[in-house]
Amino acid sequence: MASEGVLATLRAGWEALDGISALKAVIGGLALSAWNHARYTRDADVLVAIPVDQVDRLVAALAAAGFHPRHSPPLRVIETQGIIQFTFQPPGSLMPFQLDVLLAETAFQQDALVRAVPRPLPGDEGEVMVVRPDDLLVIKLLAGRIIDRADAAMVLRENRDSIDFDRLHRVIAEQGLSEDYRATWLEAYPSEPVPDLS
Amino acid sequence: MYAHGMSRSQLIPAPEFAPPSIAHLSPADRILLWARMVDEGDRFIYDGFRRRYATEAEVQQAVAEWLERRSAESTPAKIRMLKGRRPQVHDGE
Repeated sequence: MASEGVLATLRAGWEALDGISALKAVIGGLALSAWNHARYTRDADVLVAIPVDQVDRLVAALAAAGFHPRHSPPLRVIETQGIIQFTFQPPGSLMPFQLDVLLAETAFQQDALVRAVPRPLPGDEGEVMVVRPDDLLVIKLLAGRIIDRADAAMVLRENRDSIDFDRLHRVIAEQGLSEDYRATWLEAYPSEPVPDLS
Repeated sequence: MYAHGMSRSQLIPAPEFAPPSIAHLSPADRILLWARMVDEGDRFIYDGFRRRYATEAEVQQAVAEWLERRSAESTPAKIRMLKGRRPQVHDGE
């Protein structure tokens, strides 16, 4: 019988984070599947707008829910960016899962959190906020791996009617992603010319 | 190359060869599909370790190392995402 451990991890993490007053949204594998692209990825990632001085509260809330920080101190600041990584072993799962809490600091990230939409979890077990497909596409292009670029192309192809292209193209230009976006467009729609991004 | 100088898909299947979309499923069912895909993938990986190693302790060690490698690979991508990029000269033109 399936354990759906990655869902158990996100459910438990989301509930723990609900006690923290902060905007938050899911951006990992759950977001991809919510926007019509399900693939094998164990990434359970939550983008959270929380000041650094409240990180201790966040860590305490997750620890109380059974999450174990992977590092000591829990907050890692890498190239000025904050990330807090936890492990969690849901009952019945073969392997533990990693929950990454990513601290949102840029205007783009803050906007993505404000624009996030609720999506129901399976089994009527509440809902989580999920970044919109255009923001997920930008997030994937910024991450920059081949697999992320493939994800971006699938998100673009599968969500054409849900994407605000005017906003997307503005953000793409602001983030310096125009070349990546052109390549992504041709992946998604090989027979269509790339839109004018100017 | 396609006509008009456009490229063929390389990272994902071209539309005519792509697997069926899951857009017809409810949002909850799409998410459930992903969760069960993770379960199936994990089972393959775990069974692979069990065939390779004799004891449960060795299997658990292999699992821990595999998870560590995955984290080490994905963390820099997440940091790149968080940092964003500065606009480039002529970008968007």
